[in-house]
Amino acid sequence: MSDYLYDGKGPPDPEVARLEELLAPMRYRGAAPRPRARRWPFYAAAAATAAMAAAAPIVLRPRVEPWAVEDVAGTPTCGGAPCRALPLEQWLETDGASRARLTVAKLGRMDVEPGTRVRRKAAHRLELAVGAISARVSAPPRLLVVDTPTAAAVDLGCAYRLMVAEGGATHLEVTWGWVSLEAPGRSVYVPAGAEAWTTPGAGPGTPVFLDAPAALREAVARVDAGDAAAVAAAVAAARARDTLSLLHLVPRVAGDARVAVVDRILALGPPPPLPRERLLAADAAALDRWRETLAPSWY
Amino acid sequence: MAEPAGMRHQHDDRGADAPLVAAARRGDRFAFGALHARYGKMVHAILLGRVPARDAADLVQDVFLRALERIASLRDDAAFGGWLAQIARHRAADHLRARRGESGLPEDLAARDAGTGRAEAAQALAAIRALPDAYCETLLMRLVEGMTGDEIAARTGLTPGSVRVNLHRGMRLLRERLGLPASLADEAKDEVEEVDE
Repeated sequence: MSDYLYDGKGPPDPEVARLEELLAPMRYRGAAPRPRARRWPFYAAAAATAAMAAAAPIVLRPRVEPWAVEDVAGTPTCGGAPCRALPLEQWLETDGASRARLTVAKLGRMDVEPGTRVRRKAAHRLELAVGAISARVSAPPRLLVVDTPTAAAVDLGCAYRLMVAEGGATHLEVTWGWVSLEAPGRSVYVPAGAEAWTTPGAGPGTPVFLDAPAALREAVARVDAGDAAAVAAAVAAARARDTLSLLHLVPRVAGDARVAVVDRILALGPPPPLPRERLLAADAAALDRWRETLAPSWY
Repeated sequence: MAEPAGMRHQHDDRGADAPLVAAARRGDRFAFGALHARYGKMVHAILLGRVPARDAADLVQDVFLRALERIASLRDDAAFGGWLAQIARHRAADHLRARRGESGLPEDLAARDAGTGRAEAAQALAAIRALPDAYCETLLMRLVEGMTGDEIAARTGLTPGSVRVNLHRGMRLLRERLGLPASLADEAKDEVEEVDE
């Protein structure tokens, strides 16, 4: 007997389906950043909140260990003053001549390059507003997240450099392990030796290996910019290792272009874990399984 | 009112994660990452039932970090899901204690947008949170996280039958509280499960 409430199969119960639809935006999406709240409509509520907080005699906060700050060059500042530790909610800033090293207890370290503003927004979450950091993470995957204006960089066990330009465009280059770049509606996996850009309004772009042919890099950039006609050039230029880029193109294109991409991966890669029809459907679960099969050829 | 079906029945598949847990204890951080991928939704649902939605995602990381610090103390690798769920409940309680005195939490600001989907979602979440814990957690795993009943059973250690009971009894209560029409399915499944139990 079908039971929609139990397993989502069978005829949908209208109220259950309505609740699923209403509550889906609250679903856990790994570390994808939350959409920025609209501020104007909530001014009154914010004012009330501030008034009540001011009236509260004591505000307790969770105990959070500070992150050690080491001056590597110049004088990095926290909240405008020289510092040895970075507490919650505070900005660490380096000018054009300063460098700092953040040591994150049990998690790893981050080198903060000149001209960078980075804030510790939660116990294990940073916000990189502008500039660049290089991270070496020793923690288990997914415990350290860096938010940028366009995506969240989720450590999957790795070393990487993350750069945010004025205007918000973000560049990620992974030197060891994996990083997931996550934004609402789109995530990409970037392995060692590959890079990816994200741009405001467009989310994470397709990852490419640093040694990928120029023709592939150019074609992928055009597809990311909305030029589906460039798929043919990407397919023609791809090497076996570039199934990384092709796999990320599968859900971005449709129709004959998707067929061409899927068939090229099938020709270049190891036997797939699922029938071609499932791969052409491009659902997230199928692509995850395919990625696991292809990943060994990316090293 | 019938009591929620609790943790008294262990699901037969609960040992499936034991090798990953053992590897994580030995310091295999990729095994721990795999556990994060498997259990992230369950932990988030437990937190969402207790703390403001805007805090829940950040606290998921805290819960896994605490689990990592304490995994050596876990005596039964097959009991990882229940152990992790307890860490999540304690973390939520710590968080609420620490924030006592602060105000203006709510996603519930959405109530300002009466009649919109946001307001309806906030109302539905509040109604689910007011249910007994076992119903609340199970419904959030199903309705928010999109987990199937079998998946909930595998993660929590409950039997599939207990999950089904929690879902249907919880949904029946939720319908009453939200003023939704009663469903014959909830009544029928409830009766079937009571006979099975």
